[in-house]
Amino acid sequence: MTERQDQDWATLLAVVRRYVLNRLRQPDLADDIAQNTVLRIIEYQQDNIVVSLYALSFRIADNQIREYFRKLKPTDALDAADDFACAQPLPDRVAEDRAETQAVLAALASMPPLRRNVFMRRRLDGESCQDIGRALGLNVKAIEKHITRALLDLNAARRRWHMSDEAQVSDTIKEEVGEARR
Amino acid sequence: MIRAIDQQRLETPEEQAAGWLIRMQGPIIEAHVERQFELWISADERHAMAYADILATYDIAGEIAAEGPRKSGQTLAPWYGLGAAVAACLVLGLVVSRGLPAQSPVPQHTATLTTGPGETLDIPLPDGTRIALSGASAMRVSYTSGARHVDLTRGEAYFDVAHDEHRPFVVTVHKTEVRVLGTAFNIDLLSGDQSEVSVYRGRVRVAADGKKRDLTVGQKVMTGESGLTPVSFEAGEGPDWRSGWFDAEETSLTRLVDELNRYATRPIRLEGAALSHITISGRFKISDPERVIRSLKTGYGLRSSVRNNVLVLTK
Repeated sequence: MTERQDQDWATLLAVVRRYVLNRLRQPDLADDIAQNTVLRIIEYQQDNIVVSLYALSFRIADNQIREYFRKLKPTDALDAADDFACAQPLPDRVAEDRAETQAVLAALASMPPLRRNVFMRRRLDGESCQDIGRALGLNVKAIEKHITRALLDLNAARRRWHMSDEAQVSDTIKEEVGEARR
Repeated sequence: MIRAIDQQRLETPEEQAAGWLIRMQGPIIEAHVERQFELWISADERHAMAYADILATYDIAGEIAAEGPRKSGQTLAPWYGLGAAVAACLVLGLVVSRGLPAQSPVPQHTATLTTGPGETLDIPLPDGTRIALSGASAMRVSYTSGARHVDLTRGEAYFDVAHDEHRPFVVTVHKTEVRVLGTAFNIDLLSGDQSEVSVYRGRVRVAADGKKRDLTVGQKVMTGESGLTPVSFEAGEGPDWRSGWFDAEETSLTRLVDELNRYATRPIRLEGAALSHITISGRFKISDPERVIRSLKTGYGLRSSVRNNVLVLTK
């Protein structure tokens, strides 16, 4: 395997940071977790064969995010175990972003029922595409298509929310700058 | 002139990312898929950024949807609850937070293992995990860099799983999934799509048919039964079958015959509904099926006959 260049690690770092920032919305924390993740990856891949550095990085970052949530609100060890075990969402996600929460809920609510049903079965119940297809009498390709559509809907909803949020922030900055000038 | 068009080129990075996410969230990710994913995501920074966004969306949506009803007073039931005959999802988990395990390189490893009646197999795996396979049992083992997967297709096996927080250990039994990070447990696949999970190390949560039960060391539970009521047992050093014994306590005769068939060179079958209702207690040397059959005949008044090389037990 060829040596990975510093440039590759820098890209990986930026991508992991983006993922963490998406989830936590705290730039300092995102920096910490991303750096920690990439350091661990560099160390790990020296002794282990890693097929996908990206896939492993996202998993490590996700674990650290979960660890962070767990420390915020101590839960029963088994609830924590559940998160790993079932890839279930954290029960105690800190919904400091109520607006984002509302945007995502609204996007879920406005989906065609079948699309929502398929997405929820996959995401919340952890059913495989094959099982969902069997239950609903659809082929796997159709199930994947529904999940793709649902993901794009949700992604768009989050992006819209994020843009309006940034707009508000920049308005606030403008106001503050304006205040200072006066 | 008509040229072949690469389907991927027609899709935006975001759409491609969604497609990859679906493939990369499956219970088993095959090595060649993972390799293709790495090629795709490292080919273009826009791919990587799009994937980071959509993966975050997927994670966040799950978290919000799970707690949405509580926060907003809505109910999710009309969304997906109806008809969601949730496949029995059996979950075992143990979290021990440690650093990355210092371990030797783990290459891709696949194997198909079967045992004949009376045979047992002790399988050391490259990560330090040990699997003991009982008689008349079969499994497929598949290790990738992202997951350790075992498909138990027949019989019974004892798992002593090496801890690796980055590679969950997944056992599938029928439509049931057992997922752990590092613990020791036994799965016994019985007739009638039932299976029994017993815990020898670690703490475990079992979820099936929408019910959840916490199990600690020395507890076992039967899936496919209503209630998932945990039952205590003597955990000791490991399951009894490894020493060729079976401890029955108000156990159905059907179950004992299941266990015997792991060792019997001639299959054993019960005939007549009355027999399956009989419950038995005692310690049986199942590695010696003939001896057990003899004691059943004297103790419970059963009769045996051989038909088409099957030993048939009747009242």
